[in-house]
This record gives sequence, structure tokens and C-alpha cells, in this order.
Amino acid sequence: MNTSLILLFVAGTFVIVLMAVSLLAFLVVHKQKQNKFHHEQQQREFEHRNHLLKTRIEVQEQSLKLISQEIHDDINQTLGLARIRVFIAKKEAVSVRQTDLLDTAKDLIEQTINDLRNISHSLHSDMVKRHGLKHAIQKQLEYLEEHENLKTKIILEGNPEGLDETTELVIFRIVQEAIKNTRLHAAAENLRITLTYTNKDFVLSCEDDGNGFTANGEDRDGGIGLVNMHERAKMLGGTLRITASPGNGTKIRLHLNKTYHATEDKVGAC
Amino acid sequence: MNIAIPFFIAFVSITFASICGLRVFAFADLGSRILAILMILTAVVEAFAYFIALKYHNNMVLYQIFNPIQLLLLMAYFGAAIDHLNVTLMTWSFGFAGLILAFFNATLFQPIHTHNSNFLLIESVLVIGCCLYAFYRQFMDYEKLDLKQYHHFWFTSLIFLFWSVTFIHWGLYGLMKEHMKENIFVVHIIIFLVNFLFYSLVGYVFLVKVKRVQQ
Repeated sequence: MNTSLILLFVAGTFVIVLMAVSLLAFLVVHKQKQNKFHHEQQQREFEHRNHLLKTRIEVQEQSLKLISQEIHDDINQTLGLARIRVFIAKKEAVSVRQTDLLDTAKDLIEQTINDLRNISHSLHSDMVKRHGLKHAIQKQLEYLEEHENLKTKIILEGNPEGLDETTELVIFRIVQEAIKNTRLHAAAENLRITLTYTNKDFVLSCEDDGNGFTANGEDRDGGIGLVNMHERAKMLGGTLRITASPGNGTKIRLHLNKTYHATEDKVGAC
Repeated sequence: MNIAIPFFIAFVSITFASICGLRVFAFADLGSRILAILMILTAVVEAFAYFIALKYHNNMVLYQIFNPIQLLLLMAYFGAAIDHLNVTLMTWSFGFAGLILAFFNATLFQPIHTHNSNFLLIESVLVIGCCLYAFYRQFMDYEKLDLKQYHHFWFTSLIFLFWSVTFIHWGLYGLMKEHMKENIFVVHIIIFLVNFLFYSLVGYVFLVKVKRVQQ
């Protein structure tokens, strides 16, 4: 009886401890599986969202390309013909007033052709692909200086490499959005864009000395421009930070991890 | 068997758990603080119990008083550590129900100078139940919770193991005391080992796993 009781107690304790330990091990293992499942699910959701975003940007780029081609091939050609007609009409003009009016019309047509050419180039992705990000931004800034009362500056730091064409195009669209905000809403006098390349990172910084905007971060088109910028940055796996306060200008900072970015699936067709 | 040595070793482990609890007390969450208080109280009670046993050869009165307080603190701990539970409600409902139960047990079934195994058995069931519920909540509620890094998971696991052994111990205690008086030291050795491991590991969890509460 005595030995049996000891055995009963020892075995009972052992069984209880074994059961408890098994339960704990089961909990830990299953929780890990659960966590892994959640992680994979989130990853799938992220990839799906990213895919949708990429498709949207792809469609957007295709549309911009079409508009750009339409401007270049159709509207500009028509305006070119109109300019020739005005030139012919000027030769046949019988009074000075008619000549002056036709000169003005010719100048306006030429200016429109130039503007449209510029718009066509900025809409078309080829400019970034052929000449690179810095050159494309430079062109945008030159156009801005010609047509707006704004002094611009572009600074390049580091060796401009490590970003593929598609990434550069998406960055270019972010810059365009930033420039549009400065041009339309900031009433700024200076705009400075800095491109910083390091071994691991890329940083884009757009700073103006304009009005800035309120803390809720909405610009005058209801915040769509900012949302677009954020979405594009997200698609690149980067972070976009906008610092602004009324009267102190606006600073937009895009940070990309080049290492991470090199492994990312790119927007195929744009 | 000289009881002083195992007592001393067990007491060192309880003191270790108390000191570790005190060390993190200032920045720990409420659950960990309650557990730290329980550790300190246990160390004080065990020290008193040892000297009372030496002097009066019976320290059961102390445990009859301490065990309901222990249940109260454990219920408060679970109330604080488990989401969906409320520390006040747990303390008042289970804790004070335990106090009433202990009073009736002491007056009707097991007088104050005897061992309160009935109460300990019920206490074990309550504590094990709370542990299982805590596991359920930890498993179901928190997304991405890394159990291995979560101090309340380890506290709950240790309490669960400790009270599971306590349950079988107090469940069979009457029978064992009656039939294996000369070999009762086997039971005491197992209990001593479980105590030593439990308090040492609680101290370790206090030191390693309890993180500063986010402000």
C-alpha cells in the first residue's frame, strides 16, 4: 500500500507536469503557426494592394502616354499647319494692322506649340527613361522658371545609380505633383530639389519657401495630390514625409531603401 | 530528514523572486506588481511559518490566514493580466468568495490549527481555471503576440504548473498522510523541488521578460 501510494503520487505528479508542459508546448507552437499565418495573410494583402496600385499607375501612365502622343502628333501638327497658314496670310496682308494682328497670332501659336511640346514631354515617360531623373526634373524646373515667378535649384548628391527606370519615373511623378502644389498653392519664391544617392538609400527632398499649409495636410484640390504622392511612395516601398506649416514653406521628403527596392517587382509597362 | 536545509533553499528562491519583483516594481505593469507583492508576502509568511513551527510545532494558523489572501492576490493578478477581465471584479468576486469559503472551512470542517487541504484544493481548481482562461485569451486575442517573449504567458505557465502539482498534492494528501507516514518525505521532496523551481523561474521571468510599460 505504502509503495503503491508513493508510486501513485510520483506518477500522478509526473503525468500532471507532462500534461501541463504538453499544453504549454502546444500553445506556443500553435501561436507561432497562427502568427505565421497572420503574417502571410498580411503579406498577401500587401502584395494584392501593391499590385492594384501598380496596375492603376500603369493605366495612368498609358493614358498620359496617349495624351502626350495625341498632343504631339495631332494638336501640334494642326497648330503647325495653322502657323504656316498665318505666315501665308501675312504675306497677303494689305494693311499694317493686319500684319500686326497676324504676327501676334503667329507668336501665340508658336508659344502654344512650345507649351504643348513641353507638356507632351512631361507627360511622356520616355523623357525620364532616355535622359534620366535629374535631367527630366531639370527640364521641368527650366520650364517653371520661364513661365512662373519662381527661382529653382536642383542639387545632386552622390552617384546617381541604383534606381531603375520605372522607379525613376514614379519619383518623377512625385516631383511633378510637388511642383504642381508649389506652383498652384504655395506662392513661393524659391523651390529647391535635392536628390541624394548613398550606397543604400535614395532621398528626394523638395523644399519651397511658400505659404505651407495647415496641419491636416490638405491642399486645395482636397488632398488628392498628396494622397497620390503617398501612394506612389508606398508602391516603391518608401516613406514620404511632408513637413509644412502656414508661412514656413513646405518640405517633402521621400526616402527609399535601394537594397529593398532592387528586389521589388517593378511596374512592367510604364 | 532535516527540514532546515530544503526550507532554506526554498526560502532563498522565494527571496530571489521577491527581490526580482521589487527590482521591476517601479516600471512594471499592474499584473506583475501584484505578483511581486504576492512573492514578497509569501517570503515573509514562509519565514514566520518556519519560526512559528520551531516554537509552537504548529504553523497551520498562519496558512489558514495566508491562503485566502494568496487567492485574493492571485485573482487580482489574473484580473489585471488578462484582457476582458476586470481586476476589481475578480478580486471582489473570487477573492472574497475565497475568504468566506476559508472562514466556513475553518469553522466547520478543518479547524484553524489543522491543515486546510479542502480550501487549497478549491484554490487550486480556481487558479488552474484562471490559468486556462488566460491561455485561451492569450491565444485568441493578441495578433502577432510572441508568447515566448510575453511575461504574462510565462507567469501563467509557471502558476499553472505549480498549482497543477499542488492540486494533486492536496488531493492525495489526506490519503498519503494516513498510509505512508514514514515515507511522507517523498512528497515533501517533490513539493520542495516544485517550489524551488517555481519561485526561481518567477524571479527569472521578472528579470528577463518584464519590460517597461509603454507610457
